Amino acid sequence: MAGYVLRRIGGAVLMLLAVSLIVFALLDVVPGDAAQTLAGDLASQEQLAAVRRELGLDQPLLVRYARFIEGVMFRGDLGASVVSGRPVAALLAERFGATLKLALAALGMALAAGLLVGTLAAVRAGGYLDLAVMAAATLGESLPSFWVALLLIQLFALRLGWLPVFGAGSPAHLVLPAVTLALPAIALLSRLVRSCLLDVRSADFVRTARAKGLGPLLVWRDHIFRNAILPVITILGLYLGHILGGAFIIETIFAWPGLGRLVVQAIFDRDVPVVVGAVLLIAVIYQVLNLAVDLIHAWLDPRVGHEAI
Amino acid sequence: MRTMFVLALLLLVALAGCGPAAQAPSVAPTAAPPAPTEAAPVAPTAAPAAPTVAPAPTPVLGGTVTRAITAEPTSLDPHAAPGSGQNVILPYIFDTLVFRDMDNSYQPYLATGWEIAPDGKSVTFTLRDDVTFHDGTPLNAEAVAFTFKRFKEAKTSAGEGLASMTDVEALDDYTVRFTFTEPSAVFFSTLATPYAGIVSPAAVEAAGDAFGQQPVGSGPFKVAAWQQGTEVVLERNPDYRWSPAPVTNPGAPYLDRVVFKVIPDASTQLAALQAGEVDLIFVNSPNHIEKLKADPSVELIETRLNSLIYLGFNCAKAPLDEVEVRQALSHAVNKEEILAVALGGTGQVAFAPMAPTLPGFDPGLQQYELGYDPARASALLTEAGFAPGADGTLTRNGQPLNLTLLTFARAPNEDVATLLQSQLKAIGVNVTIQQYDTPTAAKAATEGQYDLLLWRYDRNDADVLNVNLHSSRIGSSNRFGYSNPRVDELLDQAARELNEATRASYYVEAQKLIMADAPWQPLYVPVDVLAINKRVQNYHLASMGRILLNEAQVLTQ
Repeated sequence: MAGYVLRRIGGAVLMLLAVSLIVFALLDVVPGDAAQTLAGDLASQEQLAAVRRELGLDQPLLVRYARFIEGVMFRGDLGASVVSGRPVAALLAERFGATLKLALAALGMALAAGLLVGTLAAVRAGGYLDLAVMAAATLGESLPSFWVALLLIQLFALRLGWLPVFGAGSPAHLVLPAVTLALPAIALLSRLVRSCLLDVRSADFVRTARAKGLGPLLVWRDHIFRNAILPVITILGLYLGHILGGAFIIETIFAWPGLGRLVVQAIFDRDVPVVVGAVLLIAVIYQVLNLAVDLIHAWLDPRVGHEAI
Repeated sequence: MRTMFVLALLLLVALAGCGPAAQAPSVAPTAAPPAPTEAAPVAPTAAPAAPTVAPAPTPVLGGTVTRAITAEPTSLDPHAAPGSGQNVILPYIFDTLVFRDMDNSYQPYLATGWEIAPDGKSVTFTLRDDVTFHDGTPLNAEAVAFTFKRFKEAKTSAGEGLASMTDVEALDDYTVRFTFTEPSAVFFSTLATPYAGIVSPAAVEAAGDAFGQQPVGSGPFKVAAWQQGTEVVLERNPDYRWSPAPVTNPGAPYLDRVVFKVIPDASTQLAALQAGEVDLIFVNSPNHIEKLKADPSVELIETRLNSLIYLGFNCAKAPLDEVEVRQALSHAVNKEEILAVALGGTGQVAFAPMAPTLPGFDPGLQQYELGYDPARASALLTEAGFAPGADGTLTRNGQPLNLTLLTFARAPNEDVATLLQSQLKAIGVNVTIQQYDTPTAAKAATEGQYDLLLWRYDRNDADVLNVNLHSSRIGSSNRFGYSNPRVDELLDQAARELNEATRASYYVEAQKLIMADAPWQPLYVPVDVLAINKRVQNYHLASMGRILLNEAQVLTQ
């Protein structure tokens, strides 16, 4: 088990190196640089050149990349924002909490609602409830989230006045962005839960359990649910990454002070250290989630454990 | 508990008795010119700084005005890189030597007066002697000298107006002299920008690089809190006694706080205004303006920001290096249609390269406009050797007239670009639109990778023509490859001329030549609409879209 975890961590480090190099190279190819942001739209070539020299942007790509890696490896330093001069680690720390809060709230909602709705639909498979739930789920997955966000603002903030339009600070501020973010996840999860439950329900071991005379509640809890939940956990882990990505749009609409807005602004400013730092942070999260999902799998399903370790 | 309450009440009564509220009544009823929606600062000659709503009721101390900003500033150091958001907040924290009025004249502010040497190569300012920074240190000649040395060294484009400044020195505690290699016509407009705010030298030395996060000036408000990504909170400076001219309140602001909320999305800003969560937003979209017109709790104010939207031609690239071709394309542009369709009827047709609110604009220049005349456009292109090909596209020597139109992503550029595309199509010119984010588009424009450029300037001085069209700027801010020695000469003369009227006449002469050479087809003057909740009273509109809140109050509902 320990060896498996170590191998996975080694792979993750290589992946992070590759990601950082790709981001560096991409931002190098994209026209415009931070010097232009700093010196302004109408700066002269001399002004631009002076700013570039000061920031070290006149150095070749590989030199800049090597300096960055050296900082990360030997000093644990992600560097400083080229535009504001503040340490990247501090900027990320400031913003990541807000994004995480939003993502976890959305994930919690999605999990609770998805399991409930999916199970109800599975129990009543083929009935009107099932049909209605699946129709709503398809709709929920296809609506663009920025549009849903505006509708929710119109209804709950402007018409009814129950919730604030934008911003952060109180639990009330969290509701609309989290719901917007959770809606497609609820739709996806309820469909997934439903189909997994239906698959397992007709499996041989369920028939055996029933034949042993086990009551329907116990059959559902110990046999159907426990087996059906495995793919749901896999998808959930991956979906958290998806939610973090979706949060970028939601954060802009609801003026939520999260990581996404920091990155978008940094990309417009060509603030390479901030973009690289944020992308690395997100890549680390993906890696940790993947690892966590695999470990939970191994723990829930002994068969997986024996194969992988 | 009860005694605490009684004490608090007593304190409140005492405060109300001796605070600025006591002197305020003399202010309110007299200063009530017509509401700015009618008086609108449309004409540059309009009354300086039109105040707002009808006579205010008794001034009330306290309250908060909340304003939405689209982008969060990276720094509130006036000498940091000019970016979005910061120029809105800076004037509340920092004061400047002179104040620029709605008619672009300069009024005393921190400086009580100034004297320009006969040769124009030095300017001496006398400062107020009662001004202190938020940290309690005095604002004196040393602080001013420190500020301008720092500003010049900062190498930002905002400090370009100091290029010919060689020195700034304190002659005594409250006298400061600037010296120049040659007379500088842009000096005063540079002084009045928020970027020339006077900083506290003690605070700069103490904070070092962090000054931008904890700025210390002498303005009517000071920074109380800055929550990254969310808001900047300013609180009243109780010691403030040096309001600029249009303000009648001589003392500290009545408001407790001014809060800037970062809201990147325009629709969210609109909803936040309508829900009463913010009091003040800038509105760009014609749709949003229509919606707000129907909202009785909101007042709409048109502001002019010395801006111009123009279509630029790449004069260094065939076939646009031929003046006839540029003139022909200019004649194909229907500006009225652009205003009606893309702007929902807002804005004002432009004909001169100088924005109408800047000195050097002259209504008489309209006779030189290359106005909408598709027949003339076709005739000019025929003369230049173009003939319609099989599909109607104009062709010369087997080369079809295909052009790229470059612009940056910001409403309503896409709509304007599409209209230009269809208007040029009508005379047989194919246009491909390239729209990028601003840094990408700016880089492509500077490198000359375009044929047609749909662009905007916002600049507070007539030197905008020097910056954009002087041949010495080719390769940097002259993105058009435009060069005319006579125009250069006039622009140089204007840059050295301190007499406003003479300087303006150089610019008028230069514009006649520029309009004939047609490196630009001026399209329209954008109107930026400020929407403000009517509960905010007694604010002042100043030049460059600034809102002074020195004597603003909020009505409690």
